[in-house]
Amino acid sequence: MTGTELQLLGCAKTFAGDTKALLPTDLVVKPGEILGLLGPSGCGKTTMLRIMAGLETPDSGGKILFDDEDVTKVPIEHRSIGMVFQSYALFPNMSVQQNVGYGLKVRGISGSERDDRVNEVMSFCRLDGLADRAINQLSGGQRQRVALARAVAPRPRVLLLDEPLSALDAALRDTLRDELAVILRGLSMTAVFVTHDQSEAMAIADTIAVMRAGRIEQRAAPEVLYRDPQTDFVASFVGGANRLSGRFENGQLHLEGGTLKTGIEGQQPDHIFIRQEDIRITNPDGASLRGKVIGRVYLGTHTKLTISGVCEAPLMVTLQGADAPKIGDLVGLDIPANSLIHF
Amino acid sequence: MSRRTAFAIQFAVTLLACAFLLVPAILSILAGVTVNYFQGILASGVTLKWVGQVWELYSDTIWRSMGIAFGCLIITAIIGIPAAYGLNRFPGRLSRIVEEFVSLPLSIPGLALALALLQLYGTIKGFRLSFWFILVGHVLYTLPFMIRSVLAVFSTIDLQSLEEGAASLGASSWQRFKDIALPNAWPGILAGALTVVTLSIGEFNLTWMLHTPLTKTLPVGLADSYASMRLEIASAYTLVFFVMIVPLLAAMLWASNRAQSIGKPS
Repeated sequence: MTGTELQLLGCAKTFAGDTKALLPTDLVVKPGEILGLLGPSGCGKTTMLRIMAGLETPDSGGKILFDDEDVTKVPIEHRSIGMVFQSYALFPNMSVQQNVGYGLKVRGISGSERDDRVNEVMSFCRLDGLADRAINQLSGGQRQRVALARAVAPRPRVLLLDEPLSALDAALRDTLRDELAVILRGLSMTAVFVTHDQSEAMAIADTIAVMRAGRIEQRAAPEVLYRDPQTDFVASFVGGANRLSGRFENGQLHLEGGTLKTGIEGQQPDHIFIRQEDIRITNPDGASLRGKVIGRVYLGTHTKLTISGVCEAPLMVTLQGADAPKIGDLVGLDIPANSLIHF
Repeated sequence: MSRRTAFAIQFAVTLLACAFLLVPAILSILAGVTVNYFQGILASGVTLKWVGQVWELYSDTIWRSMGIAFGCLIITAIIGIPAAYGLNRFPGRLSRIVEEFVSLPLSIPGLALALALLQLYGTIKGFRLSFWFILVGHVLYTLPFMIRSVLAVFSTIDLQSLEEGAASLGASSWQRFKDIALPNAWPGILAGALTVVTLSIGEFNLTWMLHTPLTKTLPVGLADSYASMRLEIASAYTLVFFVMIVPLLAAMLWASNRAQSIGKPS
């Protein structure tokens, strides 16, 4: 893989009024790796991205390295990064081509070399034929690609993206998410992007750092995060898993709606979770665990059920197909012991 | 009441209001081209003689007014655009105070402002007797309009994000000002510039206090002609003033419309 290795060493950020946006954090992004910073709003992910960009300085003691170069004190304009902003921040006084070429222009690259590189990047980002358009004549998806093309045209060492899809309509977002993933892979550039949407993070990133309250809770590949979450927050935020809370005795979990054989030996684990799609609906007669359907959302490929009376919080269940019980039905629940997540 | 009657009444009221505003102006302009106002335009006929006399008697005030307006524009642009940029760049309590402070001359009567200038600088002879003295007064009075007009545009375009975008692409602070801030603030600068020029050309209160017989401006000359000349000459003078100011006002309207539509789809 080509690209720059990005390292944060002990980077923290405290804002005025002693607000700790980011606790001291170490992070390495390997050359060519695409890292997703995932978390709810206020978790410090955007602050971390802005520290990487040079738009914020870390608290003293923090260091940012691009390969072996310490760039902590290098201002953003000399850091050679590319950035895609949440609002895209395209220059309304310039055409598409001028926007894309601006980074080359300020570096003093002119004439045919600039034109060639602008054209190359524009066709890579599927912007052919839009060169002379004004920014306000573009659709949301086109704006996003112009922002990306503009950021990568000067061949930055690191590409940073702040919620690159959040300004788009929900209908457009899924398509453009997959498209962005393809383009980013094609660039083979070290990239970090911020998102609050776990499906977006999973679709685009090589590894995901799940953040909460100014710290990284877990950093792993998407499938590892999903199959093997290390904290309760990761389990519920990334997989939307259900927390099973009840009385634990001899490997059995006593819940409001019945008893569950967990197959867990020894001490009671702190957290037991079950993913939505790992629960099976059975006949309520003779089932060891029962509940009542109180919500049902049909989504074409699958149906989402909300079931009460099993444990404290309503249980969320995802079923394939449309053949699901109706609201008000009593159902039995089969929760396979080997699907439980516990730690 | 039927819709037709309602419309008719509204139409009549609108016409009446227009007439109330326009008839005096039209009468005044007509008086300026009437041979003898007391005999009436129909009896005595139409002439450009009075306009010619105005030119002879007062052309210096017209040139001076234009010169002061132009100088005022240059100075307010040089001070006002960077000031607005700075106020936008570093928002905070201090910026708010500065903004209010700059706007202070608007809430003080022009006469009081002039008095203050006279008290402070009146003894510096060369300055007091030159048109620069009036120019300083006009700059004090028009600067807030330039700053506010440019600030308004800056606040509609999310300049901070645009500048961060430019910085991420390697642009220095001067390049960001030149390539991003200035071109995007252009409609605001234009609107501000036209406001400054129009206000400066029409300013009377302050100028009346600050002028000397050798530094009369157009509105001061106008007052002078009303007081001491034939009504026809004063009216012809008004006509000249109209011809100068109306295109400026039209351009101002156009520029402020453009400023408001920035960022919206065309």
